Amino acid sequence: MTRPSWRGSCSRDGVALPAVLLLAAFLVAVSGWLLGHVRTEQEMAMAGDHVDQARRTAAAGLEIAAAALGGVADWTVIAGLVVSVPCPLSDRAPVAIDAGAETVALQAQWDAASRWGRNTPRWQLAWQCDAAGVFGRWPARSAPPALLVWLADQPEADAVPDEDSDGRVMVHALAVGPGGARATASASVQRAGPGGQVSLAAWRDGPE
Amino acid sequence: MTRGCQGVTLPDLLVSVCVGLVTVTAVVAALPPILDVVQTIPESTDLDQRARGASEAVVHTQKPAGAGPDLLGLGPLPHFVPAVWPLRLGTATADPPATAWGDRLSTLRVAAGAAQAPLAVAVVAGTSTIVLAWHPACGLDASCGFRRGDLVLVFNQHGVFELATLTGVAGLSLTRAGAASQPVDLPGQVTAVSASVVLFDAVRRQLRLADGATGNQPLVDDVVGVRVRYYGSAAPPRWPAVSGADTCAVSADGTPRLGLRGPVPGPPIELALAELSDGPWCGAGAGRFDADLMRVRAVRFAVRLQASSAAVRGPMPAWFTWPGSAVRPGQQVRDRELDLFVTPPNLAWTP
Repeated sequence: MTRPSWRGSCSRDGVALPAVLLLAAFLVAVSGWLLGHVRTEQEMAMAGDHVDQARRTAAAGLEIAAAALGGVADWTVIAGLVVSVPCPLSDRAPVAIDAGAETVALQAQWDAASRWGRNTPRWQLAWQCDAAGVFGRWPARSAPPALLVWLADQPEADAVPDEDSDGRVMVHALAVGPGGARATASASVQRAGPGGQVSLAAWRDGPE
Repeated sequence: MTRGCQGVTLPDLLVSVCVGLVTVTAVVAALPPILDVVQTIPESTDLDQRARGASEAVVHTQKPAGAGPDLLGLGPLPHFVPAVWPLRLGTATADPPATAWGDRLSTLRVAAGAAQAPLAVAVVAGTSTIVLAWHPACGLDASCGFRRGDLVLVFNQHGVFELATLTGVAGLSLTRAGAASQPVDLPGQVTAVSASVVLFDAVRRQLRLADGATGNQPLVDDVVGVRVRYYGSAAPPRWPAVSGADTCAVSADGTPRLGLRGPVPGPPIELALAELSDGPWCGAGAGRFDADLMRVRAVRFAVRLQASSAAVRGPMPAWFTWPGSAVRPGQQVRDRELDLFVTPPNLAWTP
């Protein structure tokens, strides 16, 4: 005859497995939470790097374009101004950019805020390049940002927005990096006459 | 008979006690490092994110400093007034003029397409009316783009300026808050400006941001130190300058009035705060400033941040400005220091 047993005290089921499973679940949850933190931090840092790369590309592109303008004898016809600086091809494909759509968007932005009516500046695309071409090399793992540079006549100088009559033009650079990182730089530059030194009236980076 | 239901033997008990002790010891040994990681990683990432935010805000406010009223055909602001100031500038809670502080920084810039026009009538001290002359920069706008509430800079090429908020706009006649503290002679200009003030609030341990016309607001929490330093050329400033007339920085014959500070060309020199608040002076009244401010070409902004929780700050004063209760190195998140050196192009390109 066996002694009557109380199931709770003589059960062979045990509590080890549930305890181990609970502990494992806890550790997985904590690890996942921590990994989430680290991953978010890494993504934010990477996004910051991409914006910084785009910002440097835009600023460098603007400086190159402004310096190249000094070598152009005649600034009269803005549409005819070309930033004659080569953009060396690199083995890394730059970030894709739609130059036409960006030009339309820039013009729309100025049209919306303009108080100059038909003298509102008309932006002309003058140079298209990328960070690898601007800096000569691109050691970063990400794709090099794409660069667009536009020129426009100052709005107040004359009644013809496509022509410059006073040796002052506006330069606007946009760089688009991986992940949609965007940065702009713009400047108003001037010179006393053909061949004169290009000087800066205002340098700005966006958004204002 | 089932032995298991009748109790355990002594060996069983000893083994189970040993296994239990080993398990508890392992858990007790492993848990603190795990808890440390659980506590420090979020604090560390938060600190990094705040550091990035502070860096972004400081660079973003300083980089375009000095952008000038280009629609009037003029050069960058440093041709007329300083673009970088070691004080709280503006119309709301401004510091006394001609003072210099190491924990705050103000910058001025003219935004793209901002309202700007020449003065039609000289500004008389004690008055609050500003009369504009029409200029092509006005475009089709009857008030040249000026709006009530705009922060405006009224200045001329002698280094005389007034900073004011517009309270009324009627055609080419503007009304400013308060009265002009000094006359602004012709030829003078008026432009809408953007001011950025970054300052350290030691009591709240915050980096705060203001726009010069309203009160400031918090930018980053748990900031424990800020130090702003200024760098410039050893050459004397060539602005403000008026051909045939003396200004505070340049004589009528074009000779600089301030001395050399070192070899030219040479490396940038640090301008101590005392040098930026001891004269020679430009302007008067609320617009008085030290002519040495026209030397400034770059700003070095050092900021130190700490972890928000005292539980992850240790006792070492070198690593923790405000010590906390963390004992083990694995528990600690040290203070972060940023040292930002910003050279605004509008200052760097100014000869």
